[in-house]
Amino acid sequence: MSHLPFENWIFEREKLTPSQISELEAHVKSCQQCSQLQTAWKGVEVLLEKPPLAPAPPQFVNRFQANLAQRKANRQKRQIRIILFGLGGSFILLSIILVVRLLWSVPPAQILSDLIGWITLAPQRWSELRYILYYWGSQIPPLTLLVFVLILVGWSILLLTLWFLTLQRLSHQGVRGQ
Amino acid sequence: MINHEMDMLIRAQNGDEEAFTSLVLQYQNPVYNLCYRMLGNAQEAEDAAQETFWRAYQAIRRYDRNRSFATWLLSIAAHYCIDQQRKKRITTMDIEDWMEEVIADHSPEPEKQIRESEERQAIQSLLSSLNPQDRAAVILRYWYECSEEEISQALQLSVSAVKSRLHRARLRLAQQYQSQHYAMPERIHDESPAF
Repeated sequence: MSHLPFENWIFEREKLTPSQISELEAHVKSCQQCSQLQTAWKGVEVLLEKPPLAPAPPQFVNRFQANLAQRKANRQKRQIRIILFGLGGSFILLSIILVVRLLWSVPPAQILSDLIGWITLAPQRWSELRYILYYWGSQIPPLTLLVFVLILVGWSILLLTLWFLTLQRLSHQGVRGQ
Repeated sequence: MINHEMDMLIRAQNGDEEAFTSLVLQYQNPVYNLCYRMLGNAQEAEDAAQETFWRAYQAIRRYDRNRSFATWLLSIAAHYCIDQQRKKRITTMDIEDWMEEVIADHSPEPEKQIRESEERQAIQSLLSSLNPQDRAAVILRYWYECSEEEISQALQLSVSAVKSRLHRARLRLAQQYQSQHYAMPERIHDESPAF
């Protein structure tokens, strides 16, 4: 015996037309399997129609807020780590590239002899540098020198403040949109 | 969609945390209940609901306001619970959790509470016989009154796949109910394509 349409009808009785309901009832009377299925499905429907569960646990929203703050803080820390590792990694990579390029273009013996020469001549160059600075310092008018120093210090303070504020923003707010 | 809710959504999409929190307040019960039905355990359900809202928070800018927010949120919850179940293969509600719920309840009507708990247990027992996706389809259909179209959107299935899953799930639920309440009749093999 085929149960196909009747099985569907049992599950979706509310969609049936009156004639289909009569047909289903006639079939169910003559078919033990469909009769059992219908009885069982009515039992399931009773359970499915029970009201929903109790509300979410108390303080659910507070815990969400705490979780959110914690997760955002973790995400920001991760972003900072990524930025610092990225910058550090780029610097190391660049250094390696420069060293490799230097070793590639100049023989190691030449580098060594240049280095020894540079170290040997360092005291002499230092005294020359001091002489140059002293000479130019005596030539430049004191007011010009003061203005130059003030500009230098002003820019240094400005750039350091910007750097500090950027770091602070990254550590407190993270990179937006990530 | 209610204007107030739309206003909250727009504000949440613009990064207003308070607006998102008010959405959490509004939807905590449906999301928690879906997770509870799916996972059958109060603690896991709360963790899943918290995770659902976190995921929603992260993706809120991508939410399409033409879609139902409730369906979108329930879709996130359903997918997360399905993944969790696949990982853990939870089959039944932990009886200790259930007893804990019954004992911890200090309601003035303990008999009613016990009866309700038994009903919850019966429902969970039935639901646990379904695979995670079929279970999600049944929960969305019967507790959230989602249409087949909405279920298909939430579970990213075709409408015909949803119909097929619902049919299979109903049959399975009825068989499970039969086996729990009556002597299981022997199924006749090859009698018809349906049985």
